[in-house]
Formats: sequence, C-alpha cells, structure tokens
Amino acid sequence: MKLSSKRIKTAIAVSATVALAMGVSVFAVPAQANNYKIGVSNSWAGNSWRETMVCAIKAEATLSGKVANVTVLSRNTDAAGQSADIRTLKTQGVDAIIVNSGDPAANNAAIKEATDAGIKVIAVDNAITAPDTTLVANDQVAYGRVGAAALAKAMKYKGNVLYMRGASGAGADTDRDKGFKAEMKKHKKIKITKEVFTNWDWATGGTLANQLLVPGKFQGVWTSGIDYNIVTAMTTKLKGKYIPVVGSDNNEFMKLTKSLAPKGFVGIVVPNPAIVGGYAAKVAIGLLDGNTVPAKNLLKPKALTYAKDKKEIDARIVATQEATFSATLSLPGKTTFTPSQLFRCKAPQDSDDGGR
Amino acid sequence: MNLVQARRQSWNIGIVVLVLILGFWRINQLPQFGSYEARTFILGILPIALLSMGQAVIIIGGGINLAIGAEAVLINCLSAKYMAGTSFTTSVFLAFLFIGIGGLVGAITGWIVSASGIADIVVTLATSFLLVGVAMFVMPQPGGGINQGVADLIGGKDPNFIPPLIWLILPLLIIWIPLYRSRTGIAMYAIGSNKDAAFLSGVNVNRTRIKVYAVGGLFAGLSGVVLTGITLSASPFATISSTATLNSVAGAVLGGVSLAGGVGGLAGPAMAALVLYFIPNIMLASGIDPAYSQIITGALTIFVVLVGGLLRKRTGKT
Repeated sequence: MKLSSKRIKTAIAVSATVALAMGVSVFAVPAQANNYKIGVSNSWAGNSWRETMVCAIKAEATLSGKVANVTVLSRNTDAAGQSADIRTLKTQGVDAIIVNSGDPAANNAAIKEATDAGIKVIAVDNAITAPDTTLVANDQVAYGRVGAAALAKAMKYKGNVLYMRGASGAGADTDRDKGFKAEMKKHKKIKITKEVFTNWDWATGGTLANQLLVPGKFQGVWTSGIDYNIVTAMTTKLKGKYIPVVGSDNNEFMKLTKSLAPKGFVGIVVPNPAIVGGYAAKVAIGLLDGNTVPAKNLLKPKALTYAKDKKEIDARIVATQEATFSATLSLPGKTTFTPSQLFRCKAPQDSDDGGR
Repeated sequence: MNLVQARRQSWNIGIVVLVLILGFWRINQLPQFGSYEARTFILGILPIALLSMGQAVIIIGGGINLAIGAEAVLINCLSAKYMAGTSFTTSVFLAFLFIGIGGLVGAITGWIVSASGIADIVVTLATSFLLVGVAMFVMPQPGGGINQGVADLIGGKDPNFIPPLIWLILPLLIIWIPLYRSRTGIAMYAIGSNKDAAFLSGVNVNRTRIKVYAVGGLFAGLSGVVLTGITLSASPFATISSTATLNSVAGAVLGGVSLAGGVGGLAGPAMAALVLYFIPNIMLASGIDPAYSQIITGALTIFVVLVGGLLRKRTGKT
C-alpha cells in the first residue's frame, strides 16, 4: 500500500493534535496539586431539595479542579445513623465533611472526632452546635422575618394567619420561627390563630390545608416551603378566593404566583436555594486551601412578589424541572456552575458520561 | 428437644457466617480497619442491638411489644433532659434510675396486656403513641446532654472500642443468662411455646408475662440511655420510635427468634443487628441508593420467617 505524502502529513497532524490533546488532559491533573477528598453526610434522602443540594456540591467540586473525590452518604436516618456515617467518612480519609444534620447537637461527638483529626467540617443548611465548624446556610431568621413582613403588608396589616411551620426541633424551623414571631409582634392587628407543623412533607401540608382552609377564617398563610399545594387547595376550599401565601422558590409555587396573579393571588416568594450546597463546597475548598473563612456564611433572603419582581420570578421558573425543584440556579460569586452542569450532577470521580 | 436444639445451633452458625461474610465485605471497602472503625461498627449497632434483644425476650415469651422503640425514645429523652450538666456520680445514678424506669414501663405494659386480655399488638400499639407523647412532653424538641465522663464510659473515648463492646455483651451476661437459667426463664419458654399447656403445668402465666415485658423494658431503657451516651442528646420523634421498633422485630426474627414464641436466644438478635447495619452501609459504599437496602432487609426477613415456618413443620412443632 502506498501512501501519498499528503495523507502522511494529515496523519501526522492528526496524531500530533490527538497526542497534544491527550497530553493536556493527562498533564492538567498533576498541574493542580490539590487532590482534596470531600465527604457529604445528608440525613434525609429522596427529597428534591436535598438531592439538588448534593448535586450542587458535586458540580462545584468538579468545576474547582481541586477535588479528586466526593463521597456522598445520603439516606434517611436518625442521629445514631448519621453519626455512624460521619465516622465512616473519617475512615474514608476525607479532608472535609459537608454535613446537613438532622439534629443540631446529636452528631457533635462524631463531628468532634473529625475536627480533632484535622478534618474541616462544614454545616450546610441546618446549623449545628459543635465547635470548630463552619456554617454555610440561608439566614433562616431573616427568612422568617422578611416573609412575615411581606405577608403583613399583603394582608394590609390586619387579620388571622395560618402558620404552617416545618419540623419541630430542626435548626432551620427554630430560626425561622424566631424571625417570624419577632416581625409579627410589630403588627398588633395580625393574629397567628393556627400553628401547625408540616414536617416539610407535601402530603401532610396538603392534608392540613384541606382540613383548615375555610372561607373567611384566615386572611393569610405562611408556609415553611410546603407551598404550592396549599395554593391549589384554595381553588376548591376557598372557591378561588385566594389569600396571600408565603412560600419558597419552589418551581410550581412560582408558576402559580405568576399564573394566578390576574385572579388576585399574592404569592410571596422567599428563596431558600438548595444550591447553597455549591456554596458550601466552595467554602470547604477555601478552608482546605488554607484561606481564612468566617465561621458563619449566610445568604440574605428577600421576599419577592409578582407585582414587584415580575422579571426575577419569570427568570427563575425552570420549565424542564419538577414542581418541587428549588429554582435558584446560581448564587453570583458563590457558585460557578451552569444550570446544565448542576443537572448533570457529576462528581469529580464520575466518568464523563454524566454520572448516573 | 434435641432436634430443636440442633436447629437452633445451625441457625446461630448461619447468622455468624452471614455476619462474617458481610463484615469481611464491609471491612474490604474501608481503606483501613482499626479500633476506630471497630468502634464505629459497635456504636452504629449498639442501640438497635439492645432493642432487638429486648424484643427477642418478649417474643420468646409469646408476646410482641410494638412500643419498645417508644420506650427507648422516652428513656432517651428523660435521661438527656435530667443528665444534662450533672456531675459524674449523678449521671451514673440517673443512668441506673432510668434503666430501671424502662423496666417499670415494660412491667406496666405487660400488666395491661395480662389484665385486659386484649391482644398485645393492640395494647402496645396504643402505648407506643402514649409513650412518644410523654417523650414529647418531657422534651418538646431535640436537646439535652450527659456528663462527658459517663458518655465516654458508654461510647468509649475515640478510638477505644472496649466500652461500647462491654455494653453490648454485659447485658447478655448479667440479664439474659441468669434469666435463661432461672425458673422464670423456663416459664418464659413454656408460655411462649404453649400458654395453655404451661398454665396446666402450674406456670403462673400472667406473672411470667409481666416479668418478660419488664426485662424487655430494661433492655429498652438500656438502649435509651446508651443512645444518650452516644449522641449526647435526645430527639422525641415518633418516626425514630417506629423505625426502631420495626428494626427490633427484624433483628429478633433474623436472629433466630420464632414469631410463634418459645424459640430462640439473645446472641442471635445481637448479631442480626450487625447484619442490619452492614447491608445499608455496604450499599452506600458501593454507590447504590441505600433505600434499596430496605428491600434486601425485608426480603431476608421474609425468607427467614418462611424457612423458620418450614423447619417447624418438619420437626412437628406446632
């Protein structure tokens, strides 16, 4: 077989390019000397918000180029189980642990063993009481306060409130309650006439709404993020006479806030971004780099209404994602991933076909 | 009798083999295995192992206690509330007091079952709601604490795995073996096997049943205090209690205790707790959603109940 010189040249050029490309990808890894291992302990699985949080950690860690491995131990478990998971992560030799704790104090013994061994522990979403740890979360006291203020305004500062909290004893619930009650104290003509717990469970929230919503009984509803099915319950239970509802940045809630606005519905959106996980990953990497990081890193939530913030709410709704998706896709300066990188949910050690 | 004993031995060997296989698998997944890892294993199983043992005693005695998880949660809340900020001696005293209260709660449950004549499933289901309610009253939200010295005696100071191991084995030695060898122990197996025959042979059925529930309560109290020692706090949640109760039944059954009563011991359930611990952890480490581990645990439990039933038919025991 005879090869023309042109063909040979092309072949050489192609192989050189391939070699170069391979060389780049091979040598790119050692160029970044930091091969951090990050562990994640999450005590509540099968929940859209928590899944997005975990994906945000993976995406941010992958993009940083400094993380070799993200080990995720995510399951529904109690304090003893989560403590065991934290100990397992220590055994796996991770450099940092990002923990979303089901209990503010119950994992402290396991966490102390980790911090004593020099592992950086970052609490995400739910605050913990263990010393030498870093918190990355939404400012939940402010979350309660700004929602309460916007609700009071929407209720024209008078009437009865149905107060639908999260889970008793969870750090976020306690903090939100603090902010909510402090704000409502300022409005003498507003009364919290019913206080219930949804345990952040959609079915429980829907059942409670169907039982409690009676025409004329309440002039406003505050929810701890179990929001859109409370609004849909009003369609039948209040015959479409919608009263103001405070919800979170859930996809469907924002859609309803938009679509029911012409019918007089005031939906108050107080974002609680699940991608705070990405911010936690960034903080973890910063700590491992030896940077000084404040002990508390809080997102400042603000209340959005369709009348006031039409553009922002329109921009947040993600048509392709499910109803309960926490629709905040980036935190400027705190996360770097694009929406598609977040949805791919790829950890550094996963193959390039997009993880699972 | 010989056949029954031989079957029990083969059962115990079976569970030991299963524990060894899963344990070897799990250890292989870890980068190293030392006393810290051993301690992680034991701390992971200790509360549920103690609860499974308590449930096993009651099931052997022909009953079942669906409130055993709630008893543990209640003792967990009581102990964490009153041991917070106390001295070493006070904490130790309170630990024994609350374990005793666990036994008392168990005895009262047994008395209600005996006196009312209502099925134990119904009675204990009701008391489970009641006890969680009391726990929420004692401690409306998670918190509490324990003297750190006592906590170290329970959970072991990192990486010492001996204290939790002692808490796992000691109850077998000082509660179970004396009970097993006593008249009450024989009466317990007797009423579990056949209540009427036991009654006709002169066994005081009601009194034995109260004792059996009391011993189950002691184990539940131990489990609650140990949980306080491990987590340095308590949570009053109904989900914790129901999950713990179901796991205790699964542990007892996997450990070779027949749900029909009168068959089994306590070493099996203690080892079965390891099986229940290893399965989700192995799956988690293999990157499989641990929710599936419940399928495996469930299938394993059904398999065990089926095999147990078949063997009973074969050996002619009714």
